[in-house]
Amino acid sequence: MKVTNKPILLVEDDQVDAMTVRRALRDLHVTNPVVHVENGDAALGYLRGPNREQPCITLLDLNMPVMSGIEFLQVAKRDDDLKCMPVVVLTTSEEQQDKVESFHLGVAGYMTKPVDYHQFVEVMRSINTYWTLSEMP
Amino acid sequence: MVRQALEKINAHWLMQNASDAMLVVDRAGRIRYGNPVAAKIFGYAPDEIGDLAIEDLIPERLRLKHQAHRAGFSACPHARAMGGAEYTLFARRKNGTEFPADVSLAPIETDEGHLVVATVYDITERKRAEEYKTRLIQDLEHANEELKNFAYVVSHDLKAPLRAIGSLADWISTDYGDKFDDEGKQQMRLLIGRVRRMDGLIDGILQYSRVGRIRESCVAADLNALVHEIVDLLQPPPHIAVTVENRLPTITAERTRIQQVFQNLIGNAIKYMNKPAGEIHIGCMADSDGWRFYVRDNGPGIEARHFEKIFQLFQTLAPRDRVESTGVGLALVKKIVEQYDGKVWIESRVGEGSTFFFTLPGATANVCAMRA
Repeated sequence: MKVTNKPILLVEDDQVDAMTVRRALRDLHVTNPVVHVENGDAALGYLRGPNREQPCITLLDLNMPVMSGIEFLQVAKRDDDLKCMPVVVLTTSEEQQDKVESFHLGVAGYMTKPVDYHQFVEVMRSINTYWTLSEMP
Repeated sequence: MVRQALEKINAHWLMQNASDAMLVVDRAGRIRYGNPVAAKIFGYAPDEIGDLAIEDLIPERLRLKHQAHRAGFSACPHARAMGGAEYTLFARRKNGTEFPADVSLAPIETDEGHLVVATVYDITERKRAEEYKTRLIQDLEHANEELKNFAYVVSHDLKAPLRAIGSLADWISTDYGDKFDDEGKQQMRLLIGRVRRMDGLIDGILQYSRVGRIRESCVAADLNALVHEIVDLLQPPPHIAVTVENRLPTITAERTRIQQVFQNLIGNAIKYMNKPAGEIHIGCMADSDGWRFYVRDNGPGIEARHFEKIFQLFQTLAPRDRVESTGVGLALVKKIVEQYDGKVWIESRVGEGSTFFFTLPGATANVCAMRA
């Protein structure tokens, strides 16, 4: 990540998937703090809460209870304070419709979670490399 | 001759003996005559029916409408069917019950003026059969739709816990690897291997369920270019020679699907090759209904008793521990070929090799036209 002090917001309902992301970030020596919430609603709660630090990037699962990833994007991308925040979708869904809807809602990337952990680390490595090189708003 | 003989028979005799219900009605809507079958289907005694008005045989809720229709017919009398395909006519029996009916009308000129012969058919059975058929079709469509989505949804949900098992197993063997003895390490390897296999199986179901569920646009696909791309992608080892024997046609189809067909057939030929000098031949010939393609190898061959089984989902002939295979490939080939109204079959001799044939009849273009 280009900025190392800003948090990474992880929106993920599966505990092991969240562990996987944390572990992969650790293996890649990414030192940004990780803020973990379990659905879109909780993510909005965090982002709109008082004195919260804006995350440098949001990693978003799509299939979640209460408020899905797509529903979260529909709200966040209409919010002037949130719409510039880069969101990378991290999901199991390879459905074309999910991809189209996500990009329609302005996501910065769409990655599918591989079953193999080492491949997962590679996915996270790519995300980290990209957001280390890319300028951020 | 016959015509003269028929002219001697009077209309009354004909109606009296007809097997369909017939009524003769005048302009005012009075029934002037009803044959015995008419009396029977409307539930009247034979001598009662002649005293009724035609509206007595119509359900009350439809009587006014019928009067209007009758006036219309009088103004322009010509033989025709009443009602039509879009709505059902109803008739009323003496006891007030109703039945769906088909009625055909024919004007006749008599000494008593313009009359109309109405022939009435009780279509209760036909309606019941039609409704039953409609319901069956609806049920079938519903079940089919559910089945299509079921495979997808289930596999999708199975993936999440599987990924967790894979990750946890990986971390255990990384973090606690030094605490395992050789047997423990072997067990962890098997565990992770099985997770990968299950992942492959689920991917297979997803792929299989995607055929037919997800429709791609049809494009002109040059099979020569396509097959060469596939061979490049599969990277056959140096001891296997792949030859395209003649020029393949350009067909209009979903490119990915046709690619899957060739890729699985050529891929299998490579994967199971057991000869030091492997040969794979690909070609096509004109068939009575389009093209017949083939992929021939000089591999191990398959016993005739397995010819059907190999095209079923998840069927493999070699133990999965020996040759890693999901058993989806040929099932996928069959599903795709059949979607294009084609057939796929195998000719093989054990020890000498196998030839897989498939056809993609002219219907290929039609399938695409239908989807466009």
